This record gives sequence, C-alpha cells and structure tokens, in this order.
Amino acid sequence: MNQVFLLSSIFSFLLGASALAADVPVCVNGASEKNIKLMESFQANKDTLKVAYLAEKKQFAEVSKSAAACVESNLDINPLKSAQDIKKAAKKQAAKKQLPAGDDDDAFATKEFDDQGKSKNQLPALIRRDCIAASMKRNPGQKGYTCSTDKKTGDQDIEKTYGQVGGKTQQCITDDMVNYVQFAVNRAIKCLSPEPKKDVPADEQPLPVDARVIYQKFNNETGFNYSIAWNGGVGIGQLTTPAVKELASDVGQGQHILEAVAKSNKMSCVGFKEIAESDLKNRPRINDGNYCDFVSSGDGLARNLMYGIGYYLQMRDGIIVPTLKKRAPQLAKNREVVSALTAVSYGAEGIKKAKALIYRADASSNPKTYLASIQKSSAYLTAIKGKMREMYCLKDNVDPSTDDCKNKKLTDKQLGADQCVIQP
Amino acid sequence: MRNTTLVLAILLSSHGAYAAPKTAEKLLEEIKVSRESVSKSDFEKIVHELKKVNSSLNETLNDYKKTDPKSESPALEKVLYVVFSMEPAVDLATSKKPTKLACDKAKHKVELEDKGSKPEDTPLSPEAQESLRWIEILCK
Repeated sequence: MNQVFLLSSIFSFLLGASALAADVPVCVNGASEKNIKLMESFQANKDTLKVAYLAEKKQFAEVSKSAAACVESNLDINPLKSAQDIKKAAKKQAAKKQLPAGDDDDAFATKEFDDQGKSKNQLPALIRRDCIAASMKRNPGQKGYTCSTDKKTGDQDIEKTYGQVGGKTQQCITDDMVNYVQFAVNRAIKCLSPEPKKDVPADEQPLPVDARVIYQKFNNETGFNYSIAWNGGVGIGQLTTPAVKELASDVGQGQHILEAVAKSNKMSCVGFKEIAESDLKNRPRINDGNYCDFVSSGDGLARNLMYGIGYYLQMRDGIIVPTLKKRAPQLAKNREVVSALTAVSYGAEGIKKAKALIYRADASSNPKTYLASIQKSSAYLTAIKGKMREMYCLKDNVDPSTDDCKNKKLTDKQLGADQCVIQP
Repeated sequence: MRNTTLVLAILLSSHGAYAAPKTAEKLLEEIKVSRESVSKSDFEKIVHELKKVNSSLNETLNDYKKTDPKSESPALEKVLYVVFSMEPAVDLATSKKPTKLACDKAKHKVELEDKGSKPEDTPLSPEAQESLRWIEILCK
C-alpha cells in the first residue's frame, strides 16, 4: 500500500512539474522567464495582423504534416526515389497551396498568391529569422511599453511601461514572438513593395523594397523590439511626427504610398489596409499618451511597419533617386549607392546630409569610389555597421563588449546585411 | 620689381580674387538683413529680394567649387544646409501668391528635412528657422 502511495505521489509530482514546465516560457533573448508582460500582451492581441499570423501558422503546421505524409508515402511506393526528389515534391505541394514551405530560417516567410506573374527582379528579398532572433538579443536602450485591451473599444490601447528595455526589466522574447515579428516585417515588405507598372520599360520599373536596408534600420534603431517609445521615436522603426506627416497628410509628398495600401488587393496587405484607410481620414499623432497606436503587438506594430517602410520608399523614390538623377544619373542606377544614401536620409543625419553627399557626385563619379567616400563621411552608416557587428557577435554568443567581438572577422556582405535576407 | 609684385598682390587680394568663400554664418546674417528690409513690403518686393538671396547662395556655391572641387569640406556642407533649407521658400517666390496649401507644404518640407529623424523636442536649426520666417512673410 505504501509503495502504491509513494508511486502515485511521484507520478503526481512529475505531472505537476511537467505542467508547470509547460507554463514557463523559454526566453530566446536570455531575459528572465518572469518578465512576461510583453509576451502576455502579444498573446492577448487579436488585431488583424496577429490573426493573419495565427492563420498562416496553422496552415504551415498542416502543410508540414501533409508534406511529411507525402514524403512517407513516396518512400513506401518508390523506395528508389532520392531524398532530393522527395523534398522537391513536398515543396511543390506546398507551393500549390500558396503556403510557406521553407526551412526553419524562413518558416514564416510569406509566399503569397500576389507573387504570381512577377519576375524575380520585381519581388523583394525577405528577412531571415535567425538575423531577427539575434537582433532581438540586443539592448537598444530606452523604455518599453505593453498595451492591454480596453474593454470599451476592444482595441489594445491601454499603455503601461514595463521599465527599461534592457537590464532587470528586459522582457522575455519567445520563439513564437520572433516568428511573429519575422512574419509581420516580411509581410509589410511585400505589401509596401511597389507593383510593376504597365507599359513601362523594365529598367524604369519601380524597385521592390530593399530588405537589407530595412533589416539594418530596425536592427540599428530598436533591435526589432517593437515596444520601445520615447521622444526620439516610437516603435520598431522609431517613427517621428514629421515622418508620419509626410505619409499621412496632404502637406507631405508620400500620401500616395498609404493610398496604394488602402486600395491594395494584395494578400500581404491584410493587416495594414484598414489602418491605411483609417489614417488617411484621420492622421495619427505621436504623443506619450497614445504610444500604443504605434507599439501595440497588433495594429501598433502594423502601423509602425507601414510608416517605417513607407517612409523609406518616399526617401528613396521621392528624394534620393530624383536628386541623384539630376546630379549623376549613372549613380541613380546603382543599388548600393541608392541604398546607402537612403539610409543616411532617414538616419539621425537626415535628408540634408544625404543631399550634401549627393552634391559631391557628378556624371564622372565612379560608383565604387563614391560609395567608399560616402561611407567614410557618414556617422550613421558607420553606426549601422557597428550594430551589424553586434548582431553577429550575439548570434555566435560572443559578448559584444569584448575584444573577441571587436576583432571578429566579418565580410562587407555580412556588414551590409546581404546574408540576412533570402532572395526570391 | 619686388615692390611692383608686392603692390600687385595687395591689389589683387583686395579685389577679392583670392577671397575665401562666405561661411554659412555670414550667409545667414546677410539673409536675415535682407528679410528684415522687406518684411513689411508687398509680395513682389519680397519675391525680388528672395531671388537676390538665391543668386548670392549660388555664387557662394560657385566660389566653393574653385577652392574645394571635391566638395568635401565641412564649411561647404554647412553652406549646403543653408541652401537646402532655403529651397522651399525660394520655390514659393514666383509671380503668383502661394496658396495656403503650398505654404503649409513648404513649412512641412523645411521641418522634415531639418529634423525628420531627430527627437521631437529638437529645436530647428538656424537655417531652418530663417527659411520659415521667409515663408511666413511670403504667405502673410
């Protein structure tokens, strides 16, 4: 009898322990598993973008199951089929359902129906999960905010600070949250990337969003932590009032970008479209009483991504490229030059610095030499590379403050975020 | 011979042939004086004065081309900031009085290009402030 009692006690203890273990989150950024306010607000969010993420997550799980079944059935029927052929067949099946079927790294890279009919040049590259995960380990400073649901409106807009983003109050980031951020950012990249224009020659077609520039910006500004807000900027893209005005009011030059999202039929614009429609009627304001409009896990993140990437497009296509074309048309076609100058224009140095750098160019400027000269002259471009180094160190579990990190050998492509994107 | 050379050098330098280009601070002073001279005048006089200011800015840029052909000097960069800040005001200086929307767009452009990505409470630079004052008198 005593043995039975002992065994059942042990069994109950183990059951209880495993149940408790199931409730304790695994924090991929090294934060304490007790700091779960941000995680809880993420889990509670039911905005359109979050719901779209959950739907895709569910579909992916189903495809993985059926892909596994396909693999299994192939093995049964035709044991001579190579592993390569079987993998190809599984991917083909997933593609038919227009669902993600990638590796772990791009598990939630959105492969949308609206990619069809476009050449590779017209599709944007997307950001890799492992680079986002490493970035989210960074401590970008400032305070962070959670947003809980207002029972009257149903919106997640009751803002509350959880304290400093780093240190003792650093919030636990789970795998699921990393997946969600990757999903949201890549979806925004696809939604905002301009559509090809009819009857326009190939070399004059609008370019897709350069995902490397977006990665560098978000890594530099916030480490992809969408909850940060202070008077220097709000949310994942650290938006400011003039930037929001540029896109959401008739005094700005970028309203057409929001209008395109509001009218879009792209699947990737679900989660952004209704926000664009609403903001065109009623321009959002940034102040410390409404941070949640820009930092909540659902609509806040969606709005911030839309404006952040929209502002990048306006800088690139509305200012940098036209200014370069007048000064040095050969440089306007160089992707690296355009990306570097666009980064300067929305960095701390701003548009005037970018224009001053363009002033140095002329029709005889060699792209390689010119690029080297502007990289030397811009403190922001140097800072971006520093944060990329930090990210790579964190990726390899090297303390960024050590000499090991300072001396880590990194290629130009790594520092330029080329290895943090997946080409179409 | 030596005395002749010395006299010629003095004459040439006083003629401004080798004068250093104007600094941003000097330009801003001159722009401010110009604005104050026409602040109570009619629209046409303000436009006329602003076009003179713009010509002076372009002359200064040409002077820098001679001394800094690569256009990399910090002094030139500061002058360029003045030029870029004044552009929205200069663009309003046409034969027709600008609409309210055109004026608001110009003001927004000055602010955006000056502090688009800076903290909310960052003050506008002196050149942005000067440009806004010109826009104010053009749009009154």
